[in-house]
Amino acid sequence: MPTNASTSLSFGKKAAELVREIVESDPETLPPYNADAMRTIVEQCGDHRAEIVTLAPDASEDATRVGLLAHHQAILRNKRAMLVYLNERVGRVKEMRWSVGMGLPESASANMSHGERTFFTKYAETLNEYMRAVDLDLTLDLEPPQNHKIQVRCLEDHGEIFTRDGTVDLKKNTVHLLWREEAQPLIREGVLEQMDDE
Amino acid sequence: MADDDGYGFHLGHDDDDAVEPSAYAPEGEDDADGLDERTMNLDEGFEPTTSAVMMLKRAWVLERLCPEMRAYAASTFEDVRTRTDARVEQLERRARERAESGGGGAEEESEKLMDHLMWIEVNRVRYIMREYLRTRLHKIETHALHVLTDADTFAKLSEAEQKFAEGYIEALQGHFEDVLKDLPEGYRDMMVEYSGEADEEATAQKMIPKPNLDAFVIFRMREDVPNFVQPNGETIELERGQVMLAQYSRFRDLLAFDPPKAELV
Repeated sequence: MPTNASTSLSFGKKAAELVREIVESDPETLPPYNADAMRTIVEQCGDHRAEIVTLAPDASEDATRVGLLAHHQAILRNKRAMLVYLNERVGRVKEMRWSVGMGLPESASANMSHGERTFFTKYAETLNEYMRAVDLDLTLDLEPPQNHKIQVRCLEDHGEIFTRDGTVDLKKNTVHLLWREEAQPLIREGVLEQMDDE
Repeated sequence: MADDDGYGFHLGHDDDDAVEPSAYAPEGEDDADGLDERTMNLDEGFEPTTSAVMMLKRAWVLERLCPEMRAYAASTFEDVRTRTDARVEQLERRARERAESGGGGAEEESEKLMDHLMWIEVNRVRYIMREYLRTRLHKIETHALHVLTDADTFAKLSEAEQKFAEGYIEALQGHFEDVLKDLPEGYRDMMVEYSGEADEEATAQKMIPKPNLDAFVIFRMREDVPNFVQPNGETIELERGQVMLAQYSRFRDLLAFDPPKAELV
């Protein structure tokens, strides 16, 4: 290989590492967005591109053509790897809309890139719009329902809430019997805790 | 349904328990009184005609089992919703009336119990409604690009789902291409692998994940089909009650009939 200025070329090695990083992480978690690796891979693509431009005039030679192809494939491979990385993370970001609701916990949002936070907002909006259109909150009842009312314990002072049966004052450590549908969002927020009724 | 409001909830669930086990009964010879056991095995509890709720349940089960999107069961869904809403209104009115009259009594106690049971059914039905829509949204997300680019699939979506698919892809594309924009020219599109390629259409297809129509699913025949022509041109004889493990694409045509000649289990 001719020694060029760009010694950073690894022909997809860095990208493979990035994919491995996300695949080997716990699917329930969202590891910090690896912005450094992404930037390095983008730079490598630029370097591959520069190689292609340098080699292009000699494309009539077989050896050069092989080189051109290798660089081109390396960029494609990097691109694929980046998309795999992003896509896997997008899946986990979406999951949060279902499991924790609209408000992202600080710990999760700190691990996201700016683009991912934007995506989360847009995804949540799209989903909300859909749920308004069908007039049904789909984030409720992710598990088959048992009872239409559930006993809950209050974990923090939340003030009064309006329910179908009138107002309920949610004071810390008080126990209430609430409608499932009304209690679920508060359980998710951590205000209430469901008590075992089995 | 004989039920005055045509709800027929309880029937649906009882039937499942009562009928399902017999579906696993060994394939036997004809019964003494001449009944074909194989025919009996086709549980009539699964018959799509009994009630709106059963039809929705079937639509949901099929949606889960089918690799590709199925047409949105709009009328069934709205039917179930209307009935459920009416039932909820009735239950709430009764609860209010009880609160106003104030008096107890054995009759009222039994009415309360009935109402309690009905609430449980309402919740079950609402769960099915939610699961049905959630299952569809999940499938739309998984193959969002395909859903948007394939006109046939797109037409199977409800209006709200079409909007959702568009909004979803917009969000996804914005996110992906914000990262890809720093790549060299020609590599920046999320759907086209490399735009310098002679056959852009072909490379675009490569980048769009599609449902796997060759996935293996379990069919159960609901009718005799003496000579079914498979996609590969071969003819096969299919009998009612027959269960087959096969690639979805091989027998998918049987599902398209109304009523379907086969079902997924």
